[in-house]
Amino acid sequence: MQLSNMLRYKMGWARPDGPEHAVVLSSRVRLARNFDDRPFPPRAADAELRAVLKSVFDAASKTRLRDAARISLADITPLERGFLVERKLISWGHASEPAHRGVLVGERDAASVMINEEDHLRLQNIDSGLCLDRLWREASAIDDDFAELLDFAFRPEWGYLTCCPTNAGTGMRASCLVHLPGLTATGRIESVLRSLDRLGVLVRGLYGEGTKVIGDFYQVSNRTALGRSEEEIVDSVTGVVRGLIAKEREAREELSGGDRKTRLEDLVYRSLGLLSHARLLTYEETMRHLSYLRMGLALEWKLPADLTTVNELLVLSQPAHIQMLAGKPLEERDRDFLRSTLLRRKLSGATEA
Amino acid sequence: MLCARCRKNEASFLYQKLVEGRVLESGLCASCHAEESPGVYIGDSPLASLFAYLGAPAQGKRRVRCEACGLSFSEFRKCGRLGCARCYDAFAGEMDEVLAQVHACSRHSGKCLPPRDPKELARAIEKAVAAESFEEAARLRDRLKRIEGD
Repeated sequence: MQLSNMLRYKMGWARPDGPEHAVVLSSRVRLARNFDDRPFPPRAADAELRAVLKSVFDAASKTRLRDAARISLADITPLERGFLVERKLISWGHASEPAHRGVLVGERDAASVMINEEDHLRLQNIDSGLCLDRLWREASAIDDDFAELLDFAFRPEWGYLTCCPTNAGTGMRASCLVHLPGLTATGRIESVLRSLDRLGVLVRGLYGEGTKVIGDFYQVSNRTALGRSEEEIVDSVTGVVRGLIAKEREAREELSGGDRKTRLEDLVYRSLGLLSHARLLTYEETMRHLSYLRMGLALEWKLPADLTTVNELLVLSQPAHIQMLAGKPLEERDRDFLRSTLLRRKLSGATEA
Repeated sequence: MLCARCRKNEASFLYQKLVEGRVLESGLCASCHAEESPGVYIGDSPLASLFAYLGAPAQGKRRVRCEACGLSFSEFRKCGRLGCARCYDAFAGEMDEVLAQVHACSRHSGKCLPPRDPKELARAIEKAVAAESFEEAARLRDRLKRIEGD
């Protein structure tokens, strides 16, 4: 499979038509599963890893992922592995030890399976907006297909067994990528995130090369995987995210009302100007300004850009994606130049459309 | 888990940093966290509570080893990762406590792997019906049909 083909098709989760897409970029459900009779990948010899990879690839042809691309990480370049990481299809840990590791990628990245990461299988379903309940049902159906064919490790008292005890039980992580520029701009983000701590969720920021969160994007996920049913976990994360949406909307309304509006407009239009005219753009700078532009669009301002383009650019601007576009590894400065070209082209294209 | 920055205090924040395009995750204590990343609160992580628990002095001197993969419980205490599914059975006494520490609960109450044996499957269907989990019962019935069809 030619990975460069993946640059051309649009990821389902970048579409801007999911529920609550003004604040929630994407939802993701991940299920960890293991073979009952084989050592977990970190402790497995090469022959064991090879056998697991083959069993999962073979089994896939009898599941609803029969048409998924089967990628052996050892068969692709480091740049291509970086590309899959940015695409959220594999993890850095997975990419750094490619031998006998692999991934199944379904249509439009909507469903995928990491093989021989920390656990033998990590099933993942992802889509645009707030839709954890549907993703859980879809992931569970794929899990049922594989469970017919593979002997999964399960104990009635502890649930699904995983390499790290923090994932045991449901083996589930339900997460949402949320965009909170309004709460950041009003300075309320700290107290809001603190208040979540009691609600059983974990919040991660996206960090740049420095120590500041970039682009005001946060990932909210369940903290524990054992003791609650999958539906309860999904409901609790969904509830927390709904609370965040309400607070973010309030902040955005406040920022776009009265005399504060001009200041916000200035911020958004400066970002648009910078992204459409700069000649060297770092990843962090791009993310920061795409974040403001995205807020303007989410507020339904008439701007010469659209949400689909901005969502796509959030993905395409990443370092490995830029190098895949060039078809070769690039130095940082050359990446920054190519990134600025891509942004200019995409944003002027959006103006014409 | 000790704080990755000062290496003195217990870590209670999960902290991410992008280094040469790689996301590194480490634990920080409250004061280092405040200095490193102003304005961002990430919360306690289950991994931090796992390491806090495993790092505490061991009670008793039970020497257990998983016969399937050879991992000893003391090795698990060092790395926080089990070697295989059978480790859970080998360390059954300890695992209840480990899981309770991490998840604040040590009993699973979610989706169950349906049994392969038709008799066990029939019992599971009865149980699901009795618990009014009709969706689950239907799923198990489909499975029974498939198994009997083979």
